[in-house]
Amino acid sequence: MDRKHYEEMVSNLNRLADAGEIQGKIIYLFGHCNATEELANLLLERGLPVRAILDNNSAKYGSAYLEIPVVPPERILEESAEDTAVCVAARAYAAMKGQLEKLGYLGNVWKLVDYNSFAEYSLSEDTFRQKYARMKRGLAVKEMLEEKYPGCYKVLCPFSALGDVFLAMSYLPYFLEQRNVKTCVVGVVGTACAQTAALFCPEGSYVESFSQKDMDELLQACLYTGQDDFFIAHQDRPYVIDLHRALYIKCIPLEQIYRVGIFGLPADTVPVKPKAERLRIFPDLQKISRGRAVIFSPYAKSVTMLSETFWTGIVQDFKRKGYQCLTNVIGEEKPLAGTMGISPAIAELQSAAEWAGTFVGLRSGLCDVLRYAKCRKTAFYPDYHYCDTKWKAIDMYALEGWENFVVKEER
Amino acid sequence: MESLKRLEMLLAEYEELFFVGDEAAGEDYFSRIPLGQEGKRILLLARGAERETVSRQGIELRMISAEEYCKMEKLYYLYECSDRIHFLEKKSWYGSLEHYVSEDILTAEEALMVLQR
Repeated sequence: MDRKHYEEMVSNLNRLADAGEIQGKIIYLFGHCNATEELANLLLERGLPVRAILDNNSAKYGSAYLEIPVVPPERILEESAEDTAVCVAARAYAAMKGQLEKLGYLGNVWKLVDYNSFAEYSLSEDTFRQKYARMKRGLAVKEMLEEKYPGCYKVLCPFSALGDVFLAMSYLPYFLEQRNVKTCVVGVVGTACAQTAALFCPEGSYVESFSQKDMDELLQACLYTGQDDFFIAHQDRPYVIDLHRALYIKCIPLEQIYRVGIFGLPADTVPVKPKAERLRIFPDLQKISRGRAVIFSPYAKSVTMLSETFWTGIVQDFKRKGYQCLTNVIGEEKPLAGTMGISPAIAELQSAAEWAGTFVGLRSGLCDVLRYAKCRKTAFYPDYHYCDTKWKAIDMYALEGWENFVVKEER
Repeated sequence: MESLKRLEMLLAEYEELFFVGDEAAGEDYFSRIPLGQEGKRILLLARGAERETVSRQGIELRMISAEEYCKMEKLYYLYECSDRIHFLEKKSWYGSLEHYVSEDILTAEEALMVLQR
């Protein structure tokens, strides 16, 4: 969960607590995911126990997070509605609320984070007006973009995820050629995604960064006006895209989803690589012991984290073998104990990893950025299901040429 | 606002609404869409001259005017008002399950089956 959403979650939880809506209630969470785990952590820190995590994915029943069991949504009906509260930090709040109401649940279902500004399961005139106003705001963003880049085809990457942007850019040139597009502007969310897109951006095309709010509203305006000068390069955001449904019956790796499902390219299309001239040398290479260092990347926004104990063990193992140990950090992230922090820019990461000789990371989008680095590369996959499917993370995005390991931790 | 009320009524009556395109597409989907869960009522809506709704085992096909279809589509693209509404006509604006069928990753039947999941 990124910082902004985390702060929103804390603020909303404070609001609920101040209003007396959760103290003394039997608390359930809905939708097991990284965000829900962070919410569980927050509640437990405040001495508010969580009875269970409701989830529609039957593959998760029997599992638990910090001894909080994952159970079917119907379980909430075993309690009196007035004694319970359901808190949602997951994306599909509107669908979850609707589902509980349909089950006959009469208690409160609180949205702790607004991940999905597209959805409001209401057909009231008031909702219509609000959503129309939202679309109009998006129209202003669209017009700004068109004024800045006249005649440019718009390719929009709706989610702030490095891996998604990397994959989109890896196949975009073929797609643009297919559509006879000569120049485009790639819209992304946030600086890191913009830097990732810039590694590939074709000559004469551009990258523009937006806030999540502006991107969501821009997308809505593009969909509503329905002109043929834009494309959404994503597998499940926003709601109009139904590619993820195929995962309910078949495991289609994420790269194949991009190659075939999103861009309509042949299944054997070879990805393009970042342009060599866009990669930069990390200016602090002299701090890294050449060929005898390991760069750790233990952090990720939307992936289940591995424990401190796990990483401590890995670091100690490398230290025993005489490696210099470094942690890739950004913002307020702390280096792992016993390691030195480094903060190469996206374009500098490959040079840093190749100089060090070894990269070890939690499987995240950062690993995609280092996909072609010539060094020893290891990716750890926490043992979780991809979204609400029965497939595990390693099924969906194992990396060729890497050592890929699934890590099962008892929580 | 009439579209809002109309959609609300349809959602109250049916479990899923599929807007499938023109009359030919409507006939095609109606003949091929796999039967869903027992008791689940599914409505396929297509642009075409109004005629009697046809049905088979919980799946109905209804023709609506192009004007009404367009209004519903506009609403769909204004915001996500329900997870039980689906527009199936392929758009150039985003990816499609049809791509999987073209590359033999899914069969045509599987692509239809997942729409009801």
